[in-house]
Amino acid sequence: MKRLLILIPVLLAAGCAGPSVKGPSPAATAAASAQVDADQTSPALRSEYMDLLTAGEVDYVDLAMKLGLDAARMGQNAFAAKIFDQAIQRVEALQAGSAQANRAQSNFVAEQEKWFKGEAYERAALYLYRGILYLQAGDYGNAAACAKRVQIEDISTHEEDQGDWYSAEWLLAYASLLQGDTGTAHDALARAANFFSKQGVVPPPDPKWNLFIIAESGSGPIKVRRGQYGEELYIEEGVNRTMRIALSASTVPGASQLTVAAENIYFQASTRGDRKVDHILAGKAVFKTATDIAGDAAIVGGAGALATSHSQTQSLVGLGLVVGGIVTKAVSGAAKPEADIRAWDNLPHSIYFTGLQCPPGVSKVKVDALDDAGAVISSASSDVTIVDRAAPVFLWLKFP
Amino acid sequence: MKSFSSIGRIATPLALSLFGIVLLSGCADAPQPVHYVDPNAQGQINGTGIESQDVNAAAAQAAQSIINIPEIAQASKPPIILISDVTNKSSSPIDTSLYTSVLRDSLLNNTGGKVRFIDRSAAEQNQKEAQLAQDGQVQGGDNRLALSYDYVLTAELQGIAMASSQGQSDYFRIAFKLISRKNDLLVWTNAYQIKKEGAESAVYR
Repeated sequence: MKRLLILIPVLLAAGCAGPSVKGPSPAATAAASAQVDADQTSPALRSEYMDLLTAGEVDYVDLAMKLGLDAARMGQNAFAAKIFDQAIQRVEALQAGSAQANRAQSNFVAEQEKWFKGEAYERAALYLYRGILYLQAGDYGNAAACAKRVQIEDISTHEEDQGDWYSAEWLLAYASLLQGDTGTAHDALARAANFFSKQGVVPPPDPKWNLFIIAESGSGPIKVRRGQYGEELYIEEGVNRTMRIALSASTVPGASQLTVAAENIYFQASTRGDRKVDHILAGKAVFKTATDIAGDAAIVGGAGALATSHSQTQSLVGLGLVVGGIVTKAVSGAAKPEADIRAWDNLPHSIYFTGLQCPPGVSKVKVDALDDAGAVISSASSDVTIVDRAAPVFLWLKFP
Repeated sequence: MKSFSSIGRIATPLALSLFGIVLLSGCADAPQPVHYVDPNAQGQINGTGIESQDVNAAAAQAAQSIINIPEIAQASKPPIILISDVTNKSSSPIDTSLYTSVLRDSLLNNTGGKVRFIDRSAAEQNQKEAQLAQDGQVQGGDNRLALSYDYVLTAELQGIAMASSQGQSDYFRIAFKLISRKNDLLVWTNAYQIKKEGAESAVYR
């Protein structure tokens, strides 16, 4: 038994390996604080921005996605655009051969230690929101470019399919109409009409709209781990009560717009099914299962040989098996097969686009959120000043 | 005990080496210090999007081509060109303002005075100043008479992007057009093509 005691510290240590966690240095914190001040950051966003600036590359994109969306919802469009652009630059930086990606391929490095780029639906949503910001800024060329990029990101991990973000084709159509490109707009809407992702009737965009509604509802997809080692990544649906929205304006009686969601992000996140882990994670899980079985067998067999040995040779063989078992167990224990569940967690469940053409002057605008039965579950209203021949007025709303 | 010690001599370094490997695998990447790079060089961030050197190269090529067309080469005096903003029809968002500036600078520096360029960016300010001069509030009361242009030069970025689990590729075409102001005649076109491919790490597939 004494001999076996020496194994305990080794076995305990086998599961301990991992990177040390340390916070930002005082100098990094000071530099971040100076940057936050220099950017005249809204008080409501300062904490998030500090986190972004001090977090390092591993979680940068995840934090930037969340911060950019919070800023956009607050109407801090220039800041949101800057943050989203930082995220896009990192998403587009191909990592083949990079030190961090090579390291992340190791069986002994947790997947969530790789630089976050998000799943396809998150990268696609990043471009969709950036496109919305370009649209609000009147840069219709880049809004259309972002809409096209949404579909590229959607197909990047399953190229046998086509990109099927309905909202992206709708946005492309609207941005194209605003540039006078009716052909591209027509083609985009024709493609979208055949998408499985279509949630129902979404009125087509009208370049004459001078009031534009961007509405979000519910909570976005939730990533969870399952499987023996937490190696399987599953997407669960967030809470959502809104099924349609209705837009009306006091100055255009009888011209209300009723629409379903242009995009159901949960649908986009889960349409590859209850997705299995990627092949690297799958590799780790298989590795761990195989080595666990081999390791346990070696330790049991070796300990048995030690307990019953009557000769030095037999003891040596037994101890050799024990040490071999420890090594195998240590390797297995250090393997990190858990799925990466970092997520863009302030995404909504669904996104709606609609608009109206209002006469110049002040319009009392109302948007109702309707549930499955058509009952109003939430409303938002606002006095909007429409200026003739000006760019559309945008309202960004959030519903349950 | 002797046999146990022998094994201990083997097992201890082995186990320590193993832990060393495991612990080392958790080391974070060292931060990259800031350094200057050539703006015309290939960027270290390996994306397949269009970069400043691509626009520079396209503009330089366009400039060389423009000054050789008969309307420019045989003109009695250097024609005046208005450069319109770059329009983006590609599937990559770009900073059109920056690329328009890069394009203008490159054309200006590569046409050797054979054409002149008009810039309306200060027109509003100049008009205000002219009004002040007319009102006698500033010197130089002569009437302002801005030049018009002979040709307008447009640049449109077009492109197709492809993606797969292995990586992505981007094809860009920067299409230039020189159009006469007097009669809308398309005098000259030229296109500069770029295709980039890049591989993505397996950890992102």
